[in-house]
Amino acid sequence: MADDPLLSVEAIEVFYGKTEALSDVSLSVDEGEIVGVIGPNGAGKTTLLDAISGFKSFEGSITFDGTDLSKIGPEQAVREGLIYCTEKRDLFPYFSVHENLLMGAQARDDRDAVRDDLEEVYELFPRLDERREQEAETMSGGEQQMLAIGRALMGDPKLLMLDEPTLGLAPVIVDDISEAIERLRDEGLTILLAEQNSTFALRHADRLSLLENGEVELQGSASEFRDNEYVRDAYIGIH
Amino acid sequence: MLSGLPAVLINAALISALYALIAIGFTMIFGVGGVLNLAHGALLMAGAYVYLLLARDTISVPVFESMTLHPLLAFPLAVVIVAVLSYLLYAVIVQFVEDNPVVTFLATIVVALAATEVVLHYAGSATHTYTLIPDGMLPSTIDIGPVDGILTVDVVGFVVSWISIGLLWVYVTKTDSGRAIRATSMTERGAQLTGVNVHAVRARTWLVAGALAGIGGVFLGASTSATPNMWLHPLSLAFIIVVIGGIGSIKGSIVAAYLIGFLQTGVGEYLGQNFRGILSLVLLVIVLFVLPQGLFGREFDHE
Repeated sequence: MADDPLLSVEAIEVFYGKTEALSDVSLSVDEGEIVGVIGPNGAGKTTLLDAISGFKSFEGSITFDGTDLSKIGPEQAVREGLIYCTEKRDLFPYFSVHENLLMGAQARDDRDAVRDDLEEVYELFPRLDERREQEAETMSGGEQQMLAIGRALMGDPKLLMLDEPTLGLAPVIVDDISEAIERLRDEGLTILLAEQNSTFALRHADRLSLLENGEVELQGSASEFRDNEYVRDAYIGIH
Repeated sequence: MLSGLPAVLINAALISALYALIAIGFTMIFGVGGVLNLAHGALLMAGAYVYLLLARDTISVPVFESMTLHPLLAFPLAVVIVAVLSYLLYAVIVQFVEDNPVVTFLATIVVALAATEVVLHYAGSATHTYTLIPDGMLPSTIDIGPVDGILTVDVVGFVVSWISIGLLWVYVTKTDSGRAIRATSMTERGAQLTGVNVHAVRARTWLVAGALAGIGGVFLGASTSATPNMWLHPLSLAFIIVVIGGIGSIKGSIVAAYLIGFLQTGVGEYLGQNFRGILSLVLLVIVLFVLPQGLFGREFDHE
C-alpha cells in the first residue's frame, strides 16, 4: 500500500461525442511529487484533469488514494482531498477574497485547522491579504490566479491539480506563482501541473508527461526531458 | 380612517416587507437552479389554507380532523408544513425536469392550477377570513403617529418579515451552508470545485423559499382573506419585483419590493385602485429598457 502511487491513471480513454480526446493515457503521481503534463493547446491536458476530477466521464481506471474515481462525482473527490484549480479558475465573482477562501474550506469540519490554513494562504500570497474585502471579479488576472490557488489550498488537498496557472500572466506574477509552488513543494504538497508553458513546468516538475493529440508521447524525469532533443526543439528551444 | 400621505407611507412600508419576503424566495430558487417557480404563489396560498385548517374549523378535509390550535402554535406549524411542501415539489417533480426550462415552467404552473382545484374542492370559492393575533393579546388596530386604525396583523407581519429577512441574511452570509447557496447561484462549477453538493443546495433552497412563502401566505391571508385565486396577484408581483431588482439578487428583491409596494399603495390611494397594477408594469418596462439587468442584476454563469 505504501508503495502505491497517490494517483494512478491507467489507460484511460475520453470521448467528446465520437471524437477521441484522450487515448490510452496513463500516468501516476507519488506522494510529495510534482508531476507536469505539457503539450500544445488542444493536446488533451484539460480533458485529462477534467476526467480525474470527475467532470468528464472516461473509460479505463483512475485510482486516488485507494478510491476508484469512476464511482464518485466531483464534490466527493474534493472531500477525498483531490482539489482541482481550473484554467478558468471558476472563482465566485461577487464574493470577497475572504469569502472565496472560506468557500474553499466549506467541506471541512476542523474549524481550527481551517483558521490556520487561512493565515497560511494569506502569508503565502500577501497580495490577497491586502485585498481581503475586495470582490474577486474586480481583481487582476494574476490576483485571481493567486486566489484560485489559495481557495484550492483551503480544501486541504492531498493532491492539488493546477491547470495552466501561468496562462496570460505577466512575468513578475509568474515569478510569484513559481515561488508559491516551491514553498508548497517544501511543505510536501503533491501537485499535478498541466502547463503549455513548458519552461515553467520543467522548472518545477520532478517527472513529466508530454501529451500530443490525446496521446502520451513521452514520459520521464525533468532532466530526461531537458536532454531530449525533440522536447528541446519543439517546446523549449526559443525560451 | 386611512387617508393622507402618512397613512400611505406606513401602509406601503408594511405591505412591502411581505412582498420582499415572497420575492426573495422566488429569486433564490431562480438563482441556484435557473428554475422559474410558478408554483411559488401556490405555496403562499398553501400557507393561508394550512393555517385555516390548523386554527379554524371553517373548512374540513377528509382524514384530517380540523383543529383549532392556538395561533402561536398554528403559525409555526403552517410555516413548517409549507416549507416541506416546497421541498417535496422540488424532490418529487422539479429535480427531474429542471434541465428543461419549458417543462419546468409547465410543471410548476400545472402544480399551481392543481392546488387551486384542490382548494376549490375542499374549501369552496368562498372567501375565508381569519385572525392571526390571539384574542385579547393585542388590539386589532393600532395608531402610529397621526395615522389611526392600522391593522395590528399588518404590523406584526412587517416585524416577522424583517426578522425572517434578517435571519436569512445571517444564514447566507455567515454560515457555510447558506454561503454555499449564494456561491452556487454565482457559478455551479466553482461550487462543485469546493465540494458543494449542488443537488443538496437546491433542495435546501426550496425548503428555505417555502418557509418564506409560508410566512408570507399566512400574513397575506390574515391581512385580507384566503381565496382560491389569492396566489395570482402576489406571483405576478414577485415576478415584477425580481426582474426590477435583478434576477437572483436578494438585496435587489428587497429594494424593488419597497419600490413596488410604495408605488402600488400610492397609486391606489391617489389614482384609484384600478390603476394599482398598471404603473408597476410601466415601471417594469422602463427598467427592462434602461437597466435590463435590473437594479442589482448580475450575469449568471449558468453553463
